[in-house]
Amino acid sequence: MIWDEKHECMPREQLKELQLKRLKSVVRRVYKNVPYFRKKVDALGLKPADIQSLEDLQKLPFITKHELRETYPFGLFATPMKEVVRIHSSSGTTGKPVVAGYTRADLNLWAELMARTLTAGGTTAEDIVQNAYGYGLFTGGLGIHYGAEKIGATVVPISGGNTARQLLIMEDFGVTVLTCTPSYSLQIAEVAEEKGLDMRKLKLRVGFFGAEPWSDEMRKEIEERLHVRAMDLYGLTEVIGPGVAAECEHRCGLHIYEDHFIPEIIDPDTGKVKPDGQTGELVLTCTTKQAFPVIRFRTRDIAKLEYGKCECGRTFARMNRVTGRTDDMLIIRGVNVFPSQIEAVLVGIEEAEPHYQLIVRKDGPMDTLEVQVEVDQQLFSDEIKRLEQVERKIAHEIASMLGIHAKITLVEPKTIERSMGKAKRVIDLRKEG
Amino acid sequence: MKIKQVSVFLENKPGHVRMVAEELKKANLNLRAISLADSEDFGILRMVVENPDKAYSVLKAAKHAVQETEVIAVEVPDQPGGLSDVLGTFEKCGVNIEYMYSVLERRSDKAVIILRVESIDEVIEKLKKQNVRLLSSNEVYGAL
Repeated sequence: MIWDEKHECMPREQLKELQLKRLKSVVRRVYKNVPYFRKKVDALGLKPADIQSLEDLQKLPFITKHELRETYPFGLFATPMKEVVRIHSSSGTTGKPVVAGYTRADLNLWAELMARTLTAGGTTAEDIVQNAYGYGLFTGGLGIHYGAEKIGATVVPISGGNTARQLLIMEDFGVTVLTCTPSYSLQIAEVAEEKGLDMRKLKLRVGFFGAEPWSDEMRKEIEERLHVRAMDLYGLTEVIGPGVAAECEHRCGLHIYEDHFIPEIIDPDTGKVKPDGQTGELVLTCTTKQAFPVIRFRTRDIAKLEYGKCECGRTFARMNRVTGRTDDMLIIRGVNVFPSQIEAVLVGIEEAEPHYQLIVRKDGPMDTLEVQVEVDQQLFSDEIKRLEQVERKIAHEIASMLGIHAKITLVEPKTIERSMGKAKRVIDLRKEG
Repeated sequence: MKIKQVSVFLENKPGHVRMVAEELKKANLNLRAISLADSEDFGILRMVVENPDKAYSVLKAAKHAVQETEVIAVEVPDQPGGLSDVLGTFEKCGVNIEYMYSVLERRSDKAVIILRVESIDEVIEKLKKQNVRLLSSNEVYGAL
């Protein structure tokens, strides 16, 4: 099913015209209203009028996550605050979070894109949508919420957590659509199995899962255990939230809503745009957002684009599922974790030195985080209970800072692998697919 | 009356105790007593070595997390009930033992155990009054 056939199935030539028109307009607007962008463009000796084709986009400077933090909180907003009606934010807890502003038009656009996403997976006005994404600053909850309402579906805004209650409501309300992170869906499956609840007897038929990378293998597991069809969606706070790309019923990649976001694939080392079909870092440009339109935002997500027409009729480029990131950011159970945050915790603990390594694994459905901390002269005590106290203290601090449980393992001094004097901070052993 | 014990932090992995033993070998240091305590994923190797200060600096130079701690060495009759009698005295004096292990060599009809206690100086005074024989560091580090 297609929500907005006119745009989603627009012939590519026409789509390119629309993209160019919108690109020119957003560049002019951002150049005029965002001094940070203007300065960068001026430094390259460019003017908005130099953007005459879609290829000219490549002349413009990238914007990185780091720069978004530098301009925290509202430095890249392109509209006056009085036009901003909502704020969302990424989960940066010790590092500065990325703050996204939305005008009323932006919220309408977002709801439209989420309506496309949910419709592509088969959601209609007849459906009851249990939205188990977190509500709040996180874009997942409200993003799904307004998209489902736009379609006319019945939304159950349950947010995340309390799995027993999730199941009770799912059963009693006759919920047909579930939205949450893929790892949480398996948590739900696990509790259902413990309770002896037969998922096949429920009306649940489709789930929309995102906000963390997941594999085809995990999709199979979710589908078997929850007895749903599992759909992938993609988005990020910096661009709009969920609603940047989503799968259609053919599930042969995620259609990027190119009428609003222009994707590019670059070589992360050189910054050069790669030919179609090659794998590289995904770069996105918002062409229609008003309050917070990023231009050439480096997502750090590794992806590949496919431009061939899809059987569903949509003409949009398809990206493969995101299987990795160019930097160290980890998504653990839907929570963004930066090694620097762990470092900050260790620095704050008198006994511990920030020589550490993060090891992420899959334990059943859940991601687990192990933090290995080197024991040095200062930390070492002849008493086991003292060392165990330090372990508990670190775990407690990480839990209160990041909201995730980490297993702390003390390791011998100078054992954490260092390359060129720089410690390797992250070992991600989750299967990427 | 206080004995210097050398403790080393070790991960629970094959070959790690040997790495410490290897350092001592290279420095030509003999062991008098040794014990390995373990938790879920790490261990602490505690040793009484003939030259504790040298052992400390050798191990530190080899990038181990190492610590010197003070312990006492108590002589125990090498016969059934020997330990029980000595510990009876400890109990009477209200001394709590953190951990203990025995010395490798036997000294005629006596055994020697190494004990870690809190408030070591007080404990030494109390035990002396009870006529518990505590060994001097020379006795422990040297040939017993």
